[in-house]
Amino acid sequence: MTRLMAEKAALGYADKLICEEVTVEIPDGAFTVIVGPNACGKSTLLKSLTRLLPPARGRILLDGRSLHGLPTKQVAREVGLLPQGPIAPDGIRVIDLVTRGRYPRQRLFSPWSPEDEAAVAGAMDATGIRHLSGRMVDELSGGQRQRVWMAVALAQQTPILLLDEPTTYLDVSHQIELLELCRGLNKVQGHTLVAVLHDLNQAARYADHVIAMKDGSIIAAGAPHDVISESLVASVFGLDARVIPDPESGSPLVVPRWNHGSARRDRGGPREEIGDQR
Amino acid sequence: MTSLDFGRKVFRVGRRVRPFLIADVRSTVVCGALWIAIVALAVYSAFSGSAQITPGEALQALIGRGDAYTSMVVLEWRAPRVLLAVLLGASLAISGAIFQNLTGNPLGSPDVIGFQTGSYTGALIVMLLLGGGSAETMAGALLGGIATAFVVFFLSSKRGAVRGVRLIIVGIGVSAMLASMNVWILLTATVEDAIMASLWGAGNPSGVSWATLLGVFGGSVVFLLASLALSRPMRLMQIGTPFATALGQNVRVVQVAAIVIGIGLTALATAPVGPPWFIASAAPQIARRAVRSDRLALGPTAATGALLLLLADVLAQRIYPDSPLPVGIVTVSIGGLYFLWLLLREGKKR
Repeated sequence: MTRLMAEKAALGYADKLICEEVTVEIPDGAFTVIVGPNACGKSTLLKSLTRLLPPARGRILLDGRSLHGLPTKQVAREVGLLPQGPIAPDGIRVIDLVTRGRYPRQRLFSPWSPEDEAAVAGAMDATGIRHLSGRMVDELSGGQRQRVWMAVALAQQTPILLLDEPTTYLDVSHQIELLELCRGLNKVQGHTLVAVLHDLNQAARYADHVIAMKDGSIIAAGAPHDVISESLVASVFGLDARVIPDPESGSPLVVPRWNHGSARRDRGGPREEIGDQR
Repeated sequence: MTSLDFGRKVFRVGRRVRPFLIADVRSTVVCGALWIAIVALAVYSAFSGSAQITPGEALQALIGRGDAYTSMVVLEWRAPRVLLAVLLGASLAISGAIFQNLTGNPLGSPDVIGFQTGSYTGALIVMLLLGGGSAETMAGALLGGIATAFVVFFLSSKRGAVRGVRLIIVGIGVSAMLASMNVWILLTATVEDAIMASLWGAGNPSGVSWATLLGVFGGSVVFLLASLALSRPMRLMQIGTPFATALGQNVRVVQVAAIVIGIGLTALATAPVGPPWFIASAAPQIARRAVRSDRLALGPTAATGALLLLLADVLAQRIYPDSPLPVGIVTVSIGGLYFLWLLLREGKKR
């Protein structure tokens, strides 16, 4: 039994269930990545693991107690979430936004403590935005802004952190930067992380534990080597692909099949370097 | 001790490491300046006017040594009117800030989305159809405003969640319907009654008594204090429901509390003297730009609202001393002009 788990949970909205029955344990101290095609219920599962979406049936458990029965601030001290598409209020500065992450730990008449100061500074250092502290959020680039949001979630200082597609809208270098940050949080600081990611290869590289979902059900869960296989990619994503060892990390690397002969030849590359494929 | 860059000057109230409050220097200075202006204008308003009373005599009356006539003019007529303008201005401004924050839109303020029109409808029904006096009119306006708010929220909520743009569109629609109903009620009345009722509809604080002031004061202060306690949760809501929920906020509870406080403040501020239009939508926007803050700056907003309404009232009484204007006419002009200028300035920036 792990700290955070779903037990026979039916998830969805009033008129439409997305997951009929999900049972999942989030391994403590691991970096879990949820993958699956669009509309497979990844985000729904992630939302239900915070207080955003109460299950229609079944239970979501935090330390063996129903998540939705616990006081809201108590949950927010244990489980954090970086949702998709958060809104930055007009004319807000980076530091004021990051400080909002301290909300579950602040009280009305004591709005600022040395712990708050240290947490806000630490979150900005970890995400490399300390130098932007006094700047307006509107003036920042997309990559910088996503790091600011990450800092808000980090300032919450929860042992469990959920990230809903944190790399969407980032260019590839910022994606890797963010995943490296997550890896550090997990490996160095021992946070339990759960992220929804679109890129299977990134999932395979960074995850300790992969959960593959399709049509609201969990198809497979386990270490990337055990989960990401040619048959799984075919059944979950409907994609014909080879899975080979990643030359850098040794993790499974998904390479979609190419049925058009050599790419370099088709695009007019130097012919003599390529053997005849046909 | 780490040192953080706040991007602006701040100071700490209370102990250095565990302060009671971290305040903005700019915001504090703006608030201070506004309140000095309010006090100066209040004194000017109490010491001058159409009655032939010198400032010396007025001062005597204020400290309780004036003659009967001067005391009546200064203490019974002018003082409650000045204080009421300050209180109502602050209440309307805070109510506007709450609704603008809730809808995330400067148009989502109670005067735009029909609450004040509803108060007017309530007042008209009591004044013209039921023939009630001033106390009954106040009650009618209070009920009218609250009922309208409920209708607007009911029509614009979907699965119990209130959405900004939907609320504004429904509010504008309801407001238009009520406005035509108001015209129809006015047309059924005799000319004298219709003029009286129209005067109320334009906001007319002449003849305000201490009894009215104290009645409104009790309710408004409770709501104003509640809005202060709610300011941090409301600021948190600006980053969207999912994030606010993940940060441990019970979003639904905060929304309902904010709505109740906002409706209460508007209804209370509209009932005694009729709707001073535009304070609720203009004051929060003016204040926010003056202190360069994110959307919710309650202190400066309240001060701006109070100053605007007081200024409007002073002007309304003095433009034509022989036939004072209803204050609502002046608030629309001042607030509207400033709002227009702000919008044009924003437009140029982009």
